[in-house]
Amino acid sequence: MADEAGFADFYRAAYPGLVAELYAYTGSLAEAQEVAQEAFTRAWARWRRISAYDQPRAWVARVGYRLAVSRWRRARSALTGQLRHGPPPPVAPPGENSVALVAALSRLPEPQRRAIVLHHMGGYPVAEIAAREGVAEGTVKARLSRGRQRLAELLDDGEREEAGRV
Amino acid sequence: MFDIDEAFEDLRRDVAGGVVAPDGREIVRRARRRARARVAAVTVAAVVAAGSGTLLVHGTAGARPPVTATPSAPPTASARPQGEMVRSDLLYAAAAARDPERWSSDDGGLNVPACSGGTEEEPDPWADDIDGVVRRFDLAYNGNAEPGNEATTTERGEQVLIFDGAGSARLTMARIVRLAATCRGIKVAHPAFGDEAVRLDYAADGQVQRAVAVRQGGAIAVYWDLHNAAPASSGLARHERDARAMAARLAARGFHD
Repeated sequence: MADEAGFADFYRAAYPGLVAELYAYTGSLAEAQEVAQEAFTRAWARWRRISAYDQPRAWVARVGYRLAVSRWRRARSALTGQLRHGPPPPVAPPGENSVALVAALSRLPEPQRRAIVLHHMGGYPVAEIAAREGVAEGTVKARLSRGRQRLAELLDDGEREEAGRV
Repeated sequence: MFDIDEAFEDLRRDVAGGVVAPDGREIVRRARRRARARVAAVTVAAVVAAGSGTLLVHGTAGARPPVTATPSAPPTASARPQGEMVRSDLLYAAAAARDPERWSSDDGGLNVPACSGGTEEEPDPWADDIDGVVRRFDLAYNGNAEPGNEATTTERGEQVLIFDGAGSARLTMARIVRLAATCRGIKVAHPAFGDEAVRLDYAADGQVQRAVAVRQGGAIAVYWDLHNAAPASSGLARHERDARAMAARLAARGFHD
């Protein structure tokens, strides 16, 4: 069916990037995969409507972020997720630099982390992030600026620790 | 020297390059299974209702006793929000403006306790867009002293949803109550204020979630908090006080049955 074929193309193309974005946000690759699968499951149920949007991916990403926040708040266990979707497909573990970056992100205050991930991973412009968050563009810029500065400090500290160990 | 753009580009390549989407047919199958389960649940309810003359809204078989809800007329295509509300009307708008690092706009699901969607496998029933919502305002305060440490999570927040009419808002309130009622651990009470209100209290697996939701015409306001090992950042008494204040404010803004 045209609907299903269109969805399959969209899903295959959008899934890897969304997993990368959600990994940056959640800090867990398994969680990111599971949340992404759940978000696409919901997207299929509404595909007739969503496929007509300018950016269907934005809808899926929005639901993905909500699911990630909800799961993190409710401390859903990895086991519960596996019972729903089965174990996530095997993925090559991220490299050392990626792991360090995501670990540093997890130490940022949530508003800064979300702004940074939306902007640098999701590609959303400041104006769109501001509209989505219901804050002024200046607030988003401040979050990005402070977040970047803190990331740089955390990553530099990490490099210094590593150098000290060698 | 740290180059943020390069770092994120590397991250994207590293992760997206190694990820392959699982079989899309399984996504479609899962979605269809849930849709069938939902239809089955609603059909059973309708059969029971036909016998009793009352609309019953309840979860899957084996759940707690059904919650009776007064049927509402579905919203018409031309329905418009009754009143007007702006962000500065939120009770915590000023506090959020003073501390933009601790306060954020949530854009999360509806923060009311719920165990499940009442259908097979469906987690987090409030993560989707809610039918009939034309505008929403969300604020969340993150009191976690150790960002990234889930154990020390403590948060609270304010949400106001403006619907396309009182009918849509009534249906959402009914769903809030229904989902809570299908979860054995959630204590449900109905304080008398606004056009209807519900107080929810849920403690499980070392986490406490509480919320008071009030409907005033075609608007719903929710005051909530959640905490793990850290001290609570709010409580039900405060949520109820806030919900009463917001109900009065919404009524003054033109929201009413």
